[in-house]
Amino acid sequence: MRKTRQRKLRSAWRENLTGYAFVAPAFLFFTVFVGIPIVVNVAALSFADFSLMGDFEWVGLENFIDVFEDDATYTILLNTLKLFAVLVPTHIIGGLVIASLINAVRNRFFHTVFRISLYFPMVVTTASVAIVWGYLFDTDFGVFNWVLAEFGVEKIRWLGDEHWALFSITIFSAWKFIGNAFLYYYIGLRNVPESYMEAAAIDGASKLRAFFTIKIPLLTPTIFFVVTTTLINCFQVFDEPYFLTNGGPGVSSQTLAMQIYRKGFGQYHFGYASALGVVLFLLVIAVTVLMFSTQKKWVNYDTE
Amino acid sequence: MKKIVAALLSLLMVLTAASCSGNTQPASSGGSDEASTADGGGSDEDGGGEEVVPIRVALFTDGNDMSATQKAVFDAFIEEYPNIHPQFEYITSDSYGSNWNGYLMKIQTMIAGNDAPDVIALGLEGVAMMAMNDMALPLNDFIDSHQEELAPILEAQNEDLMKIFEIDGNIYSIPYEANCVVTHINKDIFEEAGIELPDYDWTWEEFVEICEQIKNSGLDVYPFACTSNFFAYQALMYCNGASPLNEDWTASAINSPESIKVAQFFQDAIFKNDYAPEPSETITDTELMIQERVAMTWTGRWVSDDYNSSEFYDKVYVNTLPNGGGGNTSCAGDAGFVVLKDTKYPEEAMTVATWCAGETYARTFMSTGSLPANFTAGAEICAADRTIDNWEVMYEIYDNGDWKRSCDPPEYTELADIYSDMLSIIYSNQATAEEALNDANDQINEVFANSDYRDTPEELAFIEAIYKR
Repeated sequence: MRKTRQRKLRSAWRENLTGYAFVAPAFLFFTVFVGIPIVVNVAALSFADFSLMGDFEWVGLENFIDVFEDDATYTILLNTLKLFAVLVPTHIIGGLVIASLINAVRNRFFHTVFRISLYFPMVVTTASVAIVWGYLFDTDFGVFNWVLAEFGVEKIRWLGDEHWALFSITIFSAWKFIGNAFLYYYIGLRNVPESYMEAAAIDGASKLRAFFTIKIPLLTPTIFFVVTTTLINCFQVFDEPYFLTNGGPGVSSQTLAMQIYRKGFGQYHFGYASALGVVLFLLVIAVTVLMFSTQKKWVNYDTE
Repeated sequence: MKKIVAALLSLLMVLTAASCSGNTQPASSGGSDEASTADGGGSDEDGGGEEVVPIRVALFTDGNDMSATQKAVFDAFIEEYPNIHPQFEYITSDSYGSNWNGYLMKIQTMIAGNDAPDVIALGLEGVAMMAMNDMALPLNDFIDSHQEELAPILEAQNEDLMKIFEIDGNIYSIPYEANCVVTHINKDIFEEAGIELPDYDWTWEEFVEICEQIKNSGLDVYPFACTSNFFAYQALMYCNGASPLNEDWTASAINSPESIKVAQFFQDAIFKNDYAPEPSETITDTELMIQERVAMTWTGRWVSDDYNSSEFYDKVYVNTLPNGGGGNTSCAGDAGFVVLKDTKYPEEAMTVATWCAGETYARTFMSTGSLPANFTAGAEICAADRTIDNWEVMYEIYDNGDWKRSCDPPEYTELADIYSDMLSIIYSNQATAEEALNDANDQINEVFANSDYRDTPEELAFIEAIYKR
């Protein structure tokens, strides 16, 4: 009896070993480059005064107090929330609309062309395309204003005006990153059995009705994934404002992630930057927990 | 069997990942295989059996390929000193706007990680910080004991420029580059507009008159581009009698009436007078000059690298800054090679650091780019360079004393962000010049009040000892 159990355990261990071996590289990578830095940041750096050159000095909650006493934190938090409020729906709804439209295209050639065109910006580095977009958006020499001028429209200060800057960043972000949401939605939509739609059509449901009553409910696990990852990414937005406006004009498009970079790698205040990193981390965790706690109410995992 | 293969493959991936991160080879090194394989902490032997000392030298680069010039410098150096092999490591700054902050951050990371180079190229803004943190070795004894060898280098330097690297009697470097800000003028645009090139002692009124002439010339160009580089902006403050800090660098002076006048002029130039396009993060003032969209910019010789790579030859004439009440005063700075305290080979490191301030280094590395601090070599180099005409004025500014150093207290990294935001606000018309400057003034004074560099009398004395011409 004992031998059988031992054999079973050995067999299970052998089976698990393969799994562990496959997980090991990712686990190692995550531990070294994500896990340990998070622990060091939360447990040590955010409670210390540290600038690489000076001594490491414990300062307790001083960094957190500085963060919350700093007026800039609230301006930057507001900027992040503004960008968040615009970028999140753009990616989530825009991605779904585009995926639905492309999914409806029957011509294989155009279907492929649209898919590639939409995902292509995702594989190009943000820095390089941001330069191109900078030329498009330029107030005095930009392509957009040149086209608008042909129609008698006055110059728009796409990146020079604080309100337009937010809009311009959203346009660029949608062009650059919407392919990600699109791809997940597209895969999700392709997995909806055609027979369901046919049955709905026989029952007399319109295409729009079938979309909202059949496709969307079946797509909710994908929507949940896309919404959660988009929320997290939008809290950490850095590339778009950094390369297009460098946080300007003034600090009107400066985000939390940019402020962390600026304080840490620009001014060498690693303690302050770490404390701000913890604040961002908590915000992201809060949103993620909220998403997971509400998923039971609207995510449908029943595919039968 | 499949499981074993899978496990082996996974192990291989782990080992590959580990080996990738373990490469500590310098990104770039001296011109020989021997030098490139020797690490900074060890020594080797040359063919003759004598000990060869590798000296790691870190330099700031904007990303250009330096392999050919690096090889030439290496060859020239080992011809004179066969037992010292300098390994040049080029470090780019990822700070947007290409300043030295990112470079200095990487140097600091190397130091913190016990992987410090022996010698680093350092701009004037980093000297005080390095010296205050006791990270640099003074060269005084080395200079005293090598007077004869160093005489040609020292004699070719401007005495005042040397003082920037001297704090409290300690000399931390002999400068190899000495940039000053000048007005870059597109000669063709001036000719087409029928405007004469200005004299050395031109005034702000003459400059405004030129702007009007270009604006009304019918040419599709702006009179000038506003600079987003605060070093260059400081020059425009100086020539108008303003300064970002007070004389002893203990408080802000950025909202003085003179300073407000300058800032308001540039804001009006964009939004009222149509003298300048709105500055952008993408198209720099240098690019606007190369694209011949503006007639004037304010910058240093360092942009001649860009002129050269765009084959922008025989177009640019340089002149002083227009006198707006502060004289034709420019903002000037320099850079030098500093020996780090942790080096195992101080004598050899100092040999490399001082040699790099000499003619060979300047001739090899600076045919275009920064202005050589070695005036003798610099004059010949600039004369052979087709990118900038009337280059003599850049040295005349030093000879005539028409310059002030940029204000770089140890808190310069924080001030740099304040200046950057301030210019962005002014150039985007988010607030009036006065409001933006008042805000910047408060922020600067707050930085000084909370500074870690001004706590003790020793630290205050150190800041007082920084050369502040």
